[in-house]
Amino acid sequence: MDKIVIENLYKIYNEDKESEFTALKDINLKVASNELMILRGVSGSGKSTLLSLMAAFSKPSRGKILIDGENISKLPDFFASEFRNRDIGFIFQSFNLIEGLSLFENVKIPLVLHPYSTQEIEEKVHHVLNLANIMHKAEQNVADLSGGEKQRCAIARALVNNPSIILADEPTANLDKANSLKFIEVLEKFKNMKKCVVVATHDTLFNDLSFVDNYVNISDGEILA
Amino acid sequence: MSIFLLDSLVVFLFVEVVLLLLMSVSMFVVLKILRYWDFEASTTFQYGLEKRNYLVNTIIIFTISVKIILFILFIKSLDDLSPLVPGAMCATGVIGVNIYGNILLVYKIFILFLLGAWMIVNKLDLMSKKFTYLRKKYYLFVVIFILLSIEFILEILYFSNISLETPVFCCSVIFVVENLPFGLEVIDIVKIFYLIFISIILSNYFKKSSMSFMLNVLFLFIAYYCVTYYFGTYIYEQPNHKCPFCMLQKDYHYIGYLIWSTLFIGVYCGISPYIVYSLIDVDKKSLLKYNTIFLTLFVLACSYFVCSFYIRNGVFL
Repeated sequence: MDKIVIENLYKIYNEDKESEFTALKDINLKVASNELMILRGVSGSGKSTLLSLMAAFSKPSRGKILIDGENISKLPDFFASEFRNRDIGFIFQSFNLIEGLSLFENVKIPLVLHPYSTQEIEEKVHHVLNLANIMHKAEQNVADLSGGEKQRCAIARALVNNPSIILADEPTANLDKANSLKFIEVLEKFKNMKKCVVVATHDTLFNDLSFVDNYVNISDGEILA
Repeated sequence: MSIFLLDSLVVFLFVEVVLLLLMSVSMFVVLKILRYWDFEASTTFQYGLEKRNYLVNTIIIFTISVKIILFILFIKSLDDLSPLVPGAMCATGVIGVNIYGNILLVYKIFILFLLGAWMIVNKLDLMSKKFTYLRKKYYLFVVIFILLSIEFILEILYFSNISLETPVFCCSVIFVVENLPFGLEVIDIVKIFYLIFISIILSNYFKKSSMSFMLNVLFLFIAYYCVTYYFGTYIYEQPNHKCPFCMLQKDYHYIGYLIWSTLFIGVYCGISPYIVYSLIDVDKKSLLKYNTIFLTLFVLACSYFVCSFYIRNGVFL
């Protein structure tokens, strides 16, 4: 069953201005419920824009993004936030952690909007910290973590709500090769967890992975056949 | 001297002009939205309208919020004008200086309630996934915009027709006959006041929003006369000082703000459920409990002055 259906999607920046730029052109794409898709393309090809539209961070200029049959591009702000909190786990290129807070506090942030008890929150956070293999650093300030540890924290935060969709935007761009390979191992875990996963990357380490269901190439805002 | 040189009046009129300009700009977008809105469409034009909807909605919320606060500045401007108008000791004298004053005041109160109703419809619209009440909300805004334009004309007519030479009556009623509705005596009005209050409590208890609406409108009307001609005299402790405004001043510890705000907020919570239901068929009866709370506070505050006076002096005024 298709989890994500994208139909005739366009994203145009600075519309009707001299600096108008079409980031995405007529994108049509389907991602199944437990599919792992790698979105490949060079910098500026439109991968990040596509992911941000899938996560309802921004609105398209034309077209639809249906998730479980619901057009999320039309959601008013309040419902878009609710949708993200419920269905999306997003791993950012630069991790987007809040420095000054501990790893534990960063990971629990997506849960604070839910009516969970303190004990339930602790259990959920500890569960994902163990999954991401970073439990031993739980009380440490994220500013003091290494790049690989920060990414494991970002992974834990993306998983803590148990979202059905995980989106990762250039997840290995700030990592060395060893940590990038560790992330690929985590990806396989996601696959085993039956999550719908879309990874946008230009890292060649992701080429020819046996557990990846689909490779999609994107160039100049268009999907290549 | 021109009254248009008065600081508070200049600020008041300047803000009114700015708000009217902001609303005029919003009107262009609102009319476009009303004409072309199609939520099911995924076209560039519709996405553009949705973006503009957020923008215009923010502007309207801001202007309406400021407009509500501006009512207080309007009253203050009237008070500040009183030293300039012969015979006027407070805003009461200034408001009665020409035929537009009282009309403007009643009109402003009516619009205040309408603005409050718009805020509720807007909140419900923003809480709906498909902008269910968007059209009705903006049709109501068009009506509000027209009413506010008329209000601005009334304001200009009122302020530009304030004579600084003709003496006016103010809030002392030694030499004039009390102007009570239906030829009633003050004591009858007070009895009706408490009777309507009890009826409102019962009506709210049984969640009869249409009944509450009617009773609250009537209560607002009766409460005005009661506060001015009965409770006010106990606040001022002078039987001939019958004024709705003086109690807003420092001499009376600004108690008027508590009295009038609890009355207005209470009545707003009482009439809104029926108005909202009539406009968009949504049940907001939960507001009725706030109607009960605020009106009870209002009645207690008013009654306190009568009881306190009687306990201290052993007689009524």
